[in-house]
Amino acid sequence: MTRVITIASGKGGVGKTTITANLGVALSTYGERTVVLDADIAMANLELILGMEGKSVTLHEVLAGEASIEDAIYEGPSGVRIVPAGISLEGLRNVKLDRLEETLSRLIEDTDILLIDAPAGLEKDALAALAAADELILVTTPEVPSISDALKTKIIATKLGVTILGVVINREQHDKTFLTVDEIETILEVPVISVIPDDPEVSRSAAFGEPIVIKNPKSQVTNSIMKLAADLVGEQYHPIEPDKKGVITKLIDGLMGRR
Amino acid sequence: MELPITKPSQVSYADELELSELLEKLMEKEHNGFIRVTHGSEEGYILFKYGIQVAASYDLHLKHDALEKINSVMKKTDTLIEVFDLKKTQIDYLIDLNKVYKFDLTKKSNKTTEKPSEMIKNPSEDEYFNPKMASYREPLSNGYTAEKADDQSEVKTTPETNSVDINRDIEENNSIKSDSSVEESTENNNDDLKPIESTSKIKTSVPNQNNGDVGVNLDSKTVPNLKNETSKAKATEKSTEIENSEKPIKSEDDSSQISPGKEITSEEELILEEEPPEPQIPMDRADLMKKYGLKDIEDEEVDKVIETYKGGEVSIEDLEKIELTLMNKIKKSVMGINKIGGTEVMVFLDNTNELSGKINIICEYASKGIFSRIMGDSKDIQNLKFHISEIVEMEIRKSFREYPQIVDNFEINIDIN
Repeated sequence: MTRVITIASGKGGVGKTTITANLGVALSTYGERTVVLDADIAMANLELILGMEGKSVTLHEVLAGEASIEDAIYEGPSGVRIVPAGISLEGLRNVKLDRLEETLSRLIEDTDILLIDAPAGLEKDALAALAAADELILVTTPEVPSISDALKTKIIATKLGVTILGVVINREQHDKTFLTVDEIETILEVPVISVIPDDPEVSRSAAFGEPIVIKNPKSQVTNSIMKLAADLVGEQYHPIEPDKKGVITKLIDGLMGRR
Repeated sequence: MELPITKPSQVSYADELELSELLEKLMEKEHNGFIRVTHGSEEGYILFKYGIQVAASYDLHLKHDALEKINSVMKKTDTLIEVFDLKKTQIDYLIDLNKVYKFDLTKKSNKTTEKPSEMIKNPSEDEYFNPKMASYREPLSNGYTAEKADDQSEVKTTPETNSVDINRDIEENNSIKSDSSVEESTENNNDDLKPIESTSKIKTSVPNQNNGDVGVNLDSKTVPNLKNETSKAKATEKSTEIENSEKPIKSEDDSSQISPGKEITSEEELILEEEPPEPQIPMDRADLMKKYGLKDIEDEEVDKVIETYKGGEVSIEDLEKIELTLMNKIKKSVMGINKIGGTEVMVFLDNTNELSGKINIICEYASKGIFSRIMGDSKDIQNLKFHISEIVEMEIRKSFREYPQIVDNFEINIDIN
């Protein structure tokens, strides 16, 4: 049976799309047939993060009734299948959200996990992404506005009968001005299932159009996302330790051909 | 320190004001707020909760070191002192925010224990925290003797002096062997062998004190195991709080030679009663929500939000109003065409997922000339239909300015007789 998991946050810019893209790739590495759907039809950027921009058929065309969903599925890294939303505003004009339900029902065929990247806010498109889900992962940064919006999203999702798997705290920093994990758990009343540290490498990966789980498999962010994916599918994950060799040692090894 | 700088309630130069008097006054007033001491480009802050000093910073110095610095610049005439008031509700948050500058609990407990002993010995003596004395308490790990010596003598003495005295005492009292300076100082205060029991109590308290630097524990969070680490750190904090609040009291009381045994316990209780509430991290959800100004959404609001998704934001009454308005607008526009003698417009709206509907228009063609009658229906009728259709679409667009594409949801039927 297909698991439909929506990644939502309430607030924009907390890293939902980045986490969705990387989680999708991570789940694929565990052998799960994963589809990542960008439901952020107005502000789509999943395709940019994965370096898949410029696709002719996207979710826009599917929701406008101009193409079938099969034509909008593209293969991404590690075999993850991606449904980009399209970044043109022209395509957005003809979108009919009512078609999303039907689209999803066709999409879950031959899929183990369908990850939906929900738009920010609580507008109709965001609610459609929430309502379509069986399970929900909330993404938040440890800041008050982000927590506040995550709380609203959680309440709405609960009302819609969606099971909330937990909270992912993104861009965690060692800063006393931010909320602690315990505080976030207490406020949201859902468990924290992953803490992803703040790492500029994530932005760099996005700029290269490559998910960080592939670009930098030894980073803490990758370890956190891989662990989250493993937890979702009940697998064991052993974190990859970063290289402890110094720069000079690496240089010497390189010169000596001992890579 | 990170503190909200607003309008100060009091501003004065150091030569016009005695810091000790100010501190005493703030203590009496149970002041919640902070003072800012500015000397040249350097700034210092002392945060107060119920008149008690809870945290201090001065330039790059913090805690007691900062107090010492503040005390030293107070002697200079160009030092500016400003007093800022804060709400009680702000204090805990600010203490939490400025944890780094917060006085260690061990020292705090020492400070609080000072109060009753001072009260007993010299009730007129100020209860405020003497920055100079505090600064000598700074080295916690090796300076416990200094703290004790300070407390015993209540005279400004350096740790070195104390250790010398203690060493001399050790030589005098050969009966007790110990590395702990605390133990030694206790012996110093007790000539007979009975206090050795109390010394053993101190022995156990010393390692706890050294380990129990709460400032370190609070900041000892690491990201990978953040959840566990945090809870561990908090558990350690709690345990050290308990240990530190109890054990140093015992040791100080022993050293101050007030009276051992039961009296100490009663004093302890007195101290604990008098001690102002510790600024604790609120873990209750309601407290946290209040602290961060968060609110749960009410059920009604949730229903409203969900209703918008279901497309039910237009009620039946609204629907009828829309129908009527649209009907009149279309009728008026169609009647504006010269060739139309009369018209009837019917609007049927459907409000399921999205607003859609059917518009039926029956028109009477007014000026059908003889030639037209002979020729039958000409292109005129078709042109008129097209014209009416355009007018109707325009009216729909005008009525739904925010959502003009709704025009596609309408089926327009025009009949011209």
